[in-house]
Amino acid sequence: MLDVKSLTGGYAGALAIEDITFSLGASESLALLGRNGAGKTTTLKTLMGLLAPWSGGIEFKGAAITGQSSDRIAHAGIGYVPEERRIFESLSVTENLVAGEKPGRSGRIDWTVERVFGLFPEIARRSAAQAGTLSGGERQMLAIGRALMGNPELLLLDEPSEGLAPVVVNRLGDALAALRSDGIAILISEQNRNLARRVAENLVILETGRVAYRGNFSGLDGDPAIATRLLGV
Amino acid sequence: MGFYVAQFLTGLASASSLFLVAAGLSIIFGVTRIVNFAHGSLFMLGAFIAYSISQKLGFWLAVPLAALSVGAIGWAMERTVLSRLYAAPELFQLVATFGLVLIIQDAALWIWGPTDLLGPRAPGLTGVVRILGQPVPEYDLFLIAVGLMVLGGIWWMFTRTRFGILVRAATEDREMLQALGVRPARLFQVTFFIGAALAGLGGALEMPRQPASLLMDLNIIAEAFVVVVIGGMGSVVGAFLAALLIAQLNAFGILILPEITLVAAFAAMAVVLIIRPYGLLGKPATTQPHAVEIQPPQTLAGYGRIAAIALVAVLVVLPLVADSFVVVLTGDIMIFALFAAGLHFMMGTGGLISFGHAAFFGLGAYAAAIFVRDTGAGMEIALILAPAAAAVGAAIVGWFAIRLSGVYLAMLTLAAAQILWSAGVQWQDVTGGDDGILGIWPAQWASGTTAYYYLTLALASTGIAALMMAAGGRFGHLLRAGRDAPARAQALGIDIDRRRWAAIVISGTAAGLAGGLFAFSKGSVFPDVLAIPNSVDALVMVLLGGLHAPAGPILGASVFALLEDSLSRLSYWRALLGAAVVGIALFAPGGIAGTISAWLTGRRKETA
Repeated sequence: MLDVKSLTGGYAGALAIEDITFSLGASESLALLGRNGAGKTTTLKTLMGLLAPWSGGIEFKGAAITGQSSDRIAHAGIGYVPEERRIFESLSVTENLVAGEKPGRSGRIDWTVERVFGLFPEIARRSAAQAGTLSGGERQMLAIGRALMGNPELLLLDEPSEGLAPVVVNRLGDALAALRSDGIAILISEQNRNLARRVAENLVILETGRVAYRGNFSGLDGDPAIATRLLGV
Repeated sequence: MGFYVAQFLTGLASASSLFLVAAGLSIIFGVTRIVNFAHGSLFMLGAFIAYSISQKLGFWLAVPLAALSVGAIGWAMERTVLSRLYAAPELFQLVATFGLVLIIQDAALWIWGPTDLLGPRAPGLTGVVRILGQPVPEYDLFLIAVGLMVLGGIWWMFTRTRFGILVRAATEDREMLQALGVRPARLFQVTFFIGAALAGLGGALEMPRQPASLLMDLNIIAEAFVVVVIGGMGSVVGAFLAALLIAQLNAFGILILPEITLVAAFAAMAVVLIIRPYGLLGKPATTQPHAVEIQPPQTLAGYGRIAAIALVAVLVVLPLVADSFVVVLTGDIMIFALFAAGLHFMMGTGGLISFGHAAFFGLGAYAAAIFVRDTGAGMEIALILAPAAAAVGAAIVGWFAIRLSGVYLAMLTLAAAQILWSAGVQWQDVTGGDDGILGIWPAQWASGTTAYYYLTLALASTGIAALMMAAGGRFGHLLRAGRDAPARAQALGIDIDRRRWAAIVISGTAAGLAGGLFAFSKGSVFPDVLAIPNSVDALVMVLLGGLHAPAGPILGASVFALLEDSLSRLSYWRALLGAAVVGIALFAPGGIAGTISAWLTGRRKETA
């Protein structure tokens, strides 16, 4: 579904990721792990077209999307949930979802405001509230719901657990697991290994902008030295 | 009592068209982050187009058709010029829309001619209604209703349609919205169409109240700027409240003192800005400034220094070899080079935009002239007073301006200049109005062409050299830090605001000195020196020469003066200037100096 080949990029003259290669099969999920500054967010932003890749290629469902604008990438079927959530604070919860509304690739509409509210009853209760008044967990749910409204086939989640209480992280894990079983592919960047584990089997660990480890969670569990060295836990 | 109610309703009616213009300006800014200086021009086009259509199809068809036509013109403007500038630095966006003002101005002159055109009255609404015994025109009540309906319509669009939701989302975070699959280009086009159509509607509805004239564009834009600054950029309800406030200030202020209306608007803006720097309902801009290419410090080194010395030497020798026409022309060029150098210092090194620099030039000129006229004292003191008066003016404008971002500064300076210009025209007791102040001649010792030339050379070259040294020295470095990385500079403990204020005052002082020299060079002062075209000339000189080149203003002023000398006899010289401004913004943002040095660097790289 997603093929990333030797992706290199960064911000205005500052290299942040180099030679990143990984791929994701249909309905498969992958965790992108690594410390702060390892290049996880840069990788996702570059995939989403928010940063221009310096070199390398990105293929989604067999078509190159390298260097395309983010709206075209969204229309190709990728949904994006940024690290800072970036919900539209002056809009109501429902309006945020409406802003994300678009049919999927073949015109399919699987997601409606009602279905998102079914997945996240927490924000359904606050549907008319200004999104700026939501708590951190509610914001994250809204950001995920907003991405789902675009009927994506692949969801990019950038550190969804950041800044959230364990109980909320657990709740998110339930929702993401439900999305998985629905057949949506997920690329999740995380520092919280327990959440990542609930979403993905395979993982890639980045260190200072390069792929340092490739494998799955059972492999990682069997090699605590790697975890200590690359993740610092 | 009835009289005051009638006056209040008149105010409301005026608020309507002001609101239509300001709302469009505000919506466009919210989505595109572009302050469209040509928005007043769209208002003016609305009035002219409505006039033309009404001659054939009558009033009631003319109004909506004019609004739609202007909407289409706004759309075309976005497609051809502005859409190419979304990634450009703010300055060039502003400058390009400013160029459009000049082009539209001359296009209207070409199509409709210089005379004011009074349109028909609205059939069915020509009578008056008696309210508490006072006659109130039916048409005024209609205008009030239209204003409220448009406010309601915009509110409905923003809250009840997906397009409106997207517009609000884009106002908040355009990049995120795009990542959700919304193509910004479409949104921008529709927004421009709606915003322009609102301005066109406002202009068309003015038909029975005032004739369509070529002065409408800048008059309304200055007022609309005051309105959006008071209301808060991007807030439609804020624009409505502010339009009400300004219109009522005008309606009642005129009863007390006719001259006060201009000052009242500005004073209201000042009060609001002190209490709420982002306007009544505005929010601080959350968008990051565009990444700018880091420019080298503006110092003269190597060949530059030799060229400067050579230039001064040539200028010293010039009167000995050239005829008096050339000497006078060169003197004028030096005055404008000083004026441009002041603006260049503020814009290039400080990153602070002034679209009303004529205000300071004019303050200097009028200060010198009024002093000489009223005291009979000599040129020497007047030439000290001129920069001092401009410095005070710049300190006042700058005090408000530094609290705000670039676009606010551009609007504020334009509004300030427009208000001073109005004062120059209307405050006849002091300024002489359109008749100006005559008989402002240099002191005996400097009265000859050659003598005054040398005086100009001495003062202008000293002024320009001082500006260059300031730009290249520590002060310039700190200013540049504030321009390129304000947050970081502040974190290092640099008081950016104080430097910016100082830069505005220095820039204004240079403009004031130039204005004083200009007054004695011409022997008279007219309101022209305060008018928008004078501000534009300075801006064109700076951009033409090169915003980031030390020699930019000298080069720009020279080329501009030579072009003006040969081309200004053409009827559509302003449109040419406008096209040049748009062209520089689109294709040669480095100006002459920048383009030459880019070309030289390119060649050096090729040969290396």
